[in-house]
Amino acid sequence: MEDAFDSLPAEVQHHYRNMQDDLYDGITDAVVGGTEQALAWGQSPANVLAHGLVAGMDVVGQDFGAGILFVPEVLRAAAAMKAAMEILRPLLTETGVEKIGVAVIGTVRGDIHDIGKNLVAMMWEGAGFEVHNLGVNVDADKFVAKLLEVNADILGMSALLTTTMPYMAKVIERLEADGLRDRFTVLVGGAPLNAAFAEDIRADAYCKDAAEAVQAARALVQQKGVHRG
Amino acid sequence: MPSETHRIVFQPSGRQGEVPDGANLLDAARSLGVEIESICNGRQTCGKCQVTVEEGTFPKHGIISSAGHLTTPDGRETHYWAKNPPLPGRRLACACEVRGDLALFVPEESQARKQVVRKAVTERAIVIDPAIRLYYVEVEPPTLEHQLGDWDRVAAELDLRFGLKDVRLDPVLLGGIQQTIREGDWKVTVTVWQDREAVRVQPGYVEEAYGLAVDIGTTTVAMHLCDLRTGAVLATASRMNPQVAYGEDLMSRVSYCDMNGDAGLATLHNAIIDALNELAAEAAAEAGITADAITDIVLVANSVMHHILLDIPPVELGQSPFGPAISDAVDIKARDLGLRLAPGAQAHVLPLEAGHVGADNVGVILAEEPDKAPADEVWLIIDVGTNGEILLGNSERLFSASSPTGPAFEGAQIRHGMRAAPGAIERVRIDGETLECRFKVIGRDAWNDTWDDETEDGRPKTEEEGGERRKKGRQAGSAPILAAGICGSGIIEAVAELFMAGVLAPDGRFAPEISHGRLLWNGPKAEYVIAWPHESSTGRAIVVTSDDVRNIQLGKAALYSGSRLLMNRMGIDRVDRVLLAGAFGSYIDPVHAMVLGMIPDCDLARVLTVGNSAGDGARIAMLNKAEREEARRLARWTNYIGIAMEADFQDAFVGAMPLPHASDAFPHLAEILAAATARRRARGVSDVFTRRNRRPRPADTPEGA
Repeated sequence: MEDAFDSLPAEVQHHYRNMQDDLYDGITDAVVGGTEQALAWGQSPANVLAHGLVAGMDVVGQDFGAGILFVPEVLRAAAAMKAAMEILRPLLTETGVEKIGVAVIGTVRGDIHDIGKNLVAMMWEGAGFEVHNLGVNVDADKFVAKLLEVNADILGMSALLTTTMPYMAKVIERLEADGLRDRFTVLVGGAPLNAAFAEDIRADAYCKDAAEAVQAARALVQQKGVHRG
Repeated sequence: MPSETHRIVFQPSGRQGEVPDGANLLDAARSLGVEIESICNGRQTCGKCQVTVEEGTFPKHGIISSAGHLTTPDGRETHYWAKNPPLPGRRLACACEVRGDLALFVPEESQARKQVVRKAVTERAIVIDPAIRLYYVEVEPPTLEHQLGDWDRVAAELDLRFGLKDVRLDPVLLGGIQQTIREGDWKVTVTVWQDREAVRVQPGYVEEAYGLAVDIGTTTVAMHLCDLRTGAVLATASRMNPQVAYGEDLMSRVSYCDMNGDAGLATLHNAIIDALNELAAEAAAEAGITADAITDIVLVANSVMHHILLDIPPVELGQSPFGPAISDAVDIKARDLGLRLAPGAQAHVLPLEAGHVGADNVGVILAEEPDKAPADEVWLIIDVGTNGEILLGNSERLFSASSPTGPAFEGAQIRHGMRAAPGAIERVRIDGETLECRFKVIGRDAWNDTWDDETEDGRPKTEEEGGERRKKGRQAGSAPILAAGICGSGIIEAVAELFMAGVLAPDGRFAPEISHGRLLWNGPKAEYVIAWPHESSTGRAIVVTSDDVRNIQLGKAALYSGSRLLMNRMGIDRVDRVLLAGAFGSYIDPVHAMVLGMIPDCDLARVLTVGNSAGDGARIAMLNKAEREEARRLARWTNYIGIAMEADFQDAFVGAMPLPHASDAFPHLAEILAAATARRRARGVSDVFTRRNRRPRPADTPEGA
């Protein structure tokens, strides 16, 4: 587990604040360099993840939700995060740090819209989730197989067409039929959806944008209790 | 529940909102900015305020609409209908109270402001060689010895005189053939389709061959009535596509068919057929003929409209891989579609290129002829609509793609967006120094900064009488048109002008460093006032918001990245000619479109707006039968690219979001872009938005503080 931010030496706190700013600005080299620097100082991988990266992505998510940042800026920040994670991931595994949750995400069958779903996948990674992105045109079989294979906590489904969103209900019905519904938190999103639709198809929540998807994923995983590890 | 409200959606305007339970429907319409005619002012006598309740589930709006959600007709309304038998489903808006969610359609005649449908015909040189030809023949009457059938005599004569082998008679004409021939005293004029079928037989010698060319758009239907002998356009008629009531975009209509089954398809099919019949009657009347003299109709449409027209369930077009039922051209009897033209009239529907590049795009190819572009040039043609269709190439290769532009360019998903109707702001100019704004609305020639100088009839007022005359004009109900909203061309100009003036940073943010009376900040977001309340018919300011700019960025990035990916496919870096087509393409300003980054860099003198090319293509195919074969060939020859599945689509799309682009150069805009940059510099605007300059905001440090 990471140390409390306030307990860190002032120069380390300063370093993490700079990393967060670099991440916000999507400067990959600086974020990667900052990660290496922090590790060289003997900071734990958990500390770097929590204070250098996740805290930075939180601001990105908030500002995206508030309309200050737009898609290109968020993707740049996510790319910087991803580059830093290449360094951290093996160390985190080595030190046995628990991820906060495992998510499977995809755009449903018949729909080939990719970008919004990728944004959510990246923001989830940024928030510390292990994310399995199944891409577009994903059918129920593929969703279910992956959920079981990776022992996921969360299923995220995206649809951008009024003609394809009903398929989300089919996936949920399938989970119910297989007696698996209670094992997974189901989050749905996409332009033509709304909260009422999510309720109708018995999803756990509708997420308006990537920022909401992060909040919802966190809240619902916390509600479910500590990850089974 | 005293505070209960209901959701109402009005079509075709698309205006919607919540109204309290028990609200009068006419008042509710007006409160939502829907202008419905009413002369008697609610006394239920004039019948001008008729509306139709659309029954069913409308998932896009999240409502279930039912006629039962209005109070039942009271005595006076019943009395009115008793005297004036209603069309099915009609109600008088002034007599109804709202009791539940409603989807309502305001018929053309009830709309206080008629839609401006801009699908005018373009002058083109077309070789006249229609599928329909007239032949005059004289035949011998039968005798007791020679009892060959009457039609067979005509057919034999067609062979003998004109070399037409084996012309068949449309069976629908059998019943009247003997009477017709006798009425003409054994002289008849035969209308022959494609040299093989008689579709009309008239007594005596007549010169009468008419055809219709139709473009069925998602939002607009346009029809040209032509004289098939001369090619002359005799009449043009257009209106909103009535299917708008069942879903504004294509996918909502596919969903409607999906959720309501056969009845849903029938509803949409009948809606378009009714509209076509009414338009045909209207055009015929304008030309001084009747619709039953029309023997040919050629239609273009996008794939979904095409399927619904032909009564084909469009379900497969609603999901990947988006396969159509038929790509090839379709010849069918007009009567089999439900069209009321000449009983034997033929209908021809142009072929489709792909699941989302329809017959309308084939029409664009026929009209603009990119396939005849010199091999050393590359043409880019963009048909701007809810789905942008892109063509790129020349006589050697032609690529096509469909780009999910979204409805922002048609005024939807824009705070004060509206369709092109009187009162819509269509032109915007922002002064780069003062950041003040001028605009022009549809239906009024003067720009708003000279509104005070004109009279209600548009002439400059004289000093003495002007004010008095205007007052009188208002009293007489002819108040000048004020701004009601912003249409597609207006929003394109507004965003481009804001960028050129240095108010918008290249990433699409309103520059937080700028403080100005027209720029209203609300936390991190801002809105720029185009029209002040006294200039608007709603009494509220008309603004462009941060979110509007974002939606325009998404739409223009889709068009640009689509064009760019096709350019990559061709291995080229610049285009030699850009054509902007579409019902509203004729009114997009090339400079603003390029500043926005809708289209790649090009010599501005070679960026042209070409109007309704799809409809022109239909007219070409109607007037020249060889072009129908050419259309079939071109539809197959054109190389459709599914850009959404291209590996670099996301990068191209994201790169195209900034104004005009993240990295692509625009040498032809060098001066304009340099001026915009200079204005931002002068105001201390930072182009690169960073965490470190995220704060402070203008709210924190007002100018001069």
